[in-house]
Amino acid sequence: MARAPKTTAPQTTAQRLDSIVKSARKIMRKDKGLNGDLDRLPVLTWIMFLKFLDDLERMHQDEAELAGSAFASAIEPPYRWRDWAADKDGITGPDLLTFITAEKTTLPDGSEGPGLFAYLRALRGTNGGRDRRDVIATVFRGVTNRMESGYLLRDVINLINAIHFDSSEEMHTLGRLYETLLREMRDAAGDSGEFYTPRAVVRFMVERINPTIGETVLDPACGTGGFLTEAFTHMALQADTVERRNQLQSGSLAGIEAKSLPFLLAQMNLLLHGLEAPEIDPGNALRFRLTEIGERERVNVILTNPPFGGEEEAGILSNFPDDRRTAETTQLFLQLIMRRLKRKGQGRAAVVVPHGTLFGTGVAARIKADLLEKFNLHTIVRLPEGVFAPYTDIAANLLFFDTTGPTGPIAYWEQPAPNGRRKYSKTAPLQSADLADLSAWWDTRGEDPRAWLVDGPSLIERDAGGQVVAVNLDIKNPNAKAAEDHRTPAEIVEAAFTKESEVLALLDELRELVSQQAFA
Amino acid sequence: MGELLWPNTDRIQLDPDQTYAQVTARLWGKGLALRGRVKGSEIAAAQQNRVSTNQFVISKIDARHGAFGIVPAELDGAVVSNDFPAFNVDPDKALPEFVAWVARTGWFIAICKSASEGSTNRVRLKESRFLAQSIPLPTTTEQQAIVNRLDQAAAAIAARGNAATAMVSEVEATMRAAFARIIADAPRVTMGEIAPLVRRPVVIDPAQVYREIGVRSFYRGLFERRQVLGSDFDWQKLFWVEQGDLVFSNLMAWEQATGLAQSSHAGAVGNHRMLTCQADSSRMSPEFLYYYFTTEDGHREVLKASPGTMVRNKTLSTKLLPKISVPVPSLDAQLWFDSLQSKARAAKATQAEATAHLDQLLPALLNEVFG
Repeated sequence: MARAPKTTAPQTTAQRLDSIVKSARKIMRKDKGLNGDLDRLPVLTWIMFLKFLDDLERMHQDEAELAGSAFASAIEPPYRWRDWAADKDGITGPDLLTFITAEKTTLPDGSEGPGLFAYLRALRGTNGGRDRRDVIATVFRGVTNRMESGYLLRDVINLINAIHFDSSEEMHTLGRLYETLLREMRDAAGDSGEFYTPRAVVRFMVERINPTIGETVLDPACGTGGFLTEAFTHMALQADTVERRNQLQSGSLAGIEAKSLPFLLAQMNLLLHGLEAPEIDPGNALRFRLTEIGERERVNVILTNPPFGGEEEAGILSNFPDDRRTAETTQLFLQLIMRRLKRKGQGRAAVVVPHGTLFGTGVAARIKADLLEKFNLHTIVRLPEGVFAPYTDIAANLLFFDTTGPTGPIAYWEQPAPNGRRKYSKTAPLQSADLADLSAWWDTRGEDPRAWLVDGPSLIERDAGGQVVAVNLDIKNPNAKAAEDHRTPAEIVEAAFTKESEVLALLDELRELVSQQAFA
Repeated sequence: MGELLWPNTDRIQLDPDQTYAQVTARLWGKGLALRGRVKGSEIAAAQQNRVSTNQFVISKIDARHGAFGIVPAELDGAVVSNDFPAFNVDPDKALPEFVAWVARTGWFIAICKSASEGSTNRVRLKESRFLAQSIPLPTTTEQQAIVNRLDQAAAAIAARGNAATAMVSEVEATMRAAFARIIADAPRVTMGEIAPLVRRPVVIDPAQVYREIGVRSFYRGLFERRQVLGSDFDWQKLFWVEQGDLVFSNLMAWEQATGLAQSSHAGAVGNHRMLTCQADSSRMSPEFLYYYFTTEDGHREVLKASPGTMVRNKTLSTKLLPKISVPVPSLDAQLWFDSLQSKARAAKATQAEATAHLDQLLPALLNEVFG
């Protein structure tokens, strides 16, 4: 058959970006200082970050000129991207490395001054206010250059220079591209209880909690900022006036992340999605004494997936009441979340917790009793195994609660395992479409074999002294029993017998067929 | 349970030069098994616990997943770590075999689950809580009767299972013999002539949802990978799949990823890695052709046409595939063989249904006995 002539379709923005990033990684693979994606991604991130910042500044500068107002650039020459990176035959090799990493060096324009990283780390906002410069400084405090070859670094810079962050279409696709990059990096992570939340789950939680402009949103274990970016995108749709847009930009979203790489990625991720000065706290969320957290630190919305089964040092535990200390980080975070929600119906939260939290006794039971008595735990979504693949197979649950008062009935929803498979996996992950039925059920709360109601207060078991002994939230779907085989042994044998006789009949026919003279 | 089971720890110092048998507890009530025989020096711990026949051994970590059982005679003297406490069964109160059966029930696993505590990934059975639970215990005579009945049923099911496996392999041997007969003096024709590679390019409509198929390795057939909106494809080229297409996954054909498109796959799409061959229906039955590629001879031809050395480079060449020659007996003979195949398939499928019923038998019996 004649081959159809080959047509080379013009590349879309996504494809072009994809190929740029691919070649950048190919170049970095040759560098001896980098081992694996976990090393390569930070390099790519800080280079992209500077390029992006420069494009953004140029855009703002043009706008300011048109409006006739003054514009102060966050980064001064000769440290701007356009000064040292944009020329593809600019400084390279050892000179480039010294310019980037040295404390003091000869700058490309011939003068003496601090190196690029040293300069960026020293940036401060004007008049003590927090602005983009502080973000840049915090980001670069966590960045070190690991590349050993300045020539390879120049090649990477030249590639990134071809991305134009100022066209809105590229901005949009870059966000998507960045997520795929993050996903690839995550495959190398997954240690120390960091289980990055699948996109479908994040989106579902944000949509159900529905944060609105004017509210404050917090993720105390924000990782690479999945919940915050999703919440930002969700809230950006409501920003229909300049005032509301400003409100969204200033202080509506906050995150806390103790690890430096996710912290850097979260900053970048939020910037790319359009939040200009993300407020990410680079410390341990649990470092404050629980009782000292007051109304000022409280927020309207908390969306988070706290680390499961991580461990905290003893000093951190002393921030918690004597009878609420535990090695399980999820339990500590649950207490923090309860403490940081605005009271009197003003606060609501959606939290991912492992199964163990639901049936745990002792400290876990006391924390759950608090949750039931002081908060309205209205919904629990039970997710099947493998949702967090490939990090863990632990089955998880989504808890939805608010501060409208003590818990009454708790609505449970059991998300079934995927059709025809035992569990979700890395290659066949949970999709948003899988949660469509759940979303439909959410508002109506109608009858469904996957949903059931449990009376909350009656779950608290106390001993004679009034101490909480157990709070078992690990409740099985009562409707699922119907699926069990309730036949008697005799009936089962009968059914098997019928089938075996059919097998015999089929074998008989087979004998008939093979004995046909023509072919046998 | 504390009255029935006595903790028994026989701690021994390991001799680095001696060989020890190690015990593993299989999940979901399947009991204990030999994990392996290793030198004392290969065991990290200096001391281990020795178990003896008829002791009840439970895995602290996986008790909530049904990992426990009675030590069988062949594991007498094997060693376990501290995470596997051993118990002597009180001979006046219970038979070890009876305990072994009780341990296979769902509610026993539930007991272990409720007696476990700890944070994520460190959940362990608490011995004291476990021993505080109670189980029903009839007299030893009754226990013996129950054990006999269950043992017999289990033996019968196992024997039937072996017979069923033997029957399947006999049927498969019949197929091979019949196939060898009819191709014995059949002419050979190249794939390019009788079943050429046919690609039907899809013009992707961004608004349409496509069913994308893939091929499973080891002749496990075609499956629907996913449903994708046209706009979500970026670089992929797609091709239509029709019923009767013989589909090779060019990457995994060396691992027997070959399948035959059924009626349910018509109208689905495959990416450029799915090589679709359409048999000339006047001379070749697709079913027959597919059977050829599942035989050793056919697979050898596929391997020859996949020339790469490394696993991921072993792609089936679109140039070599049309050169593979296949036996082409008379169409009548092919159709006769097809009807043989479909009967054999039906027999196997029906037998699998019977097996599925019988798999429910032991749980049902346990449920009847222990309620």
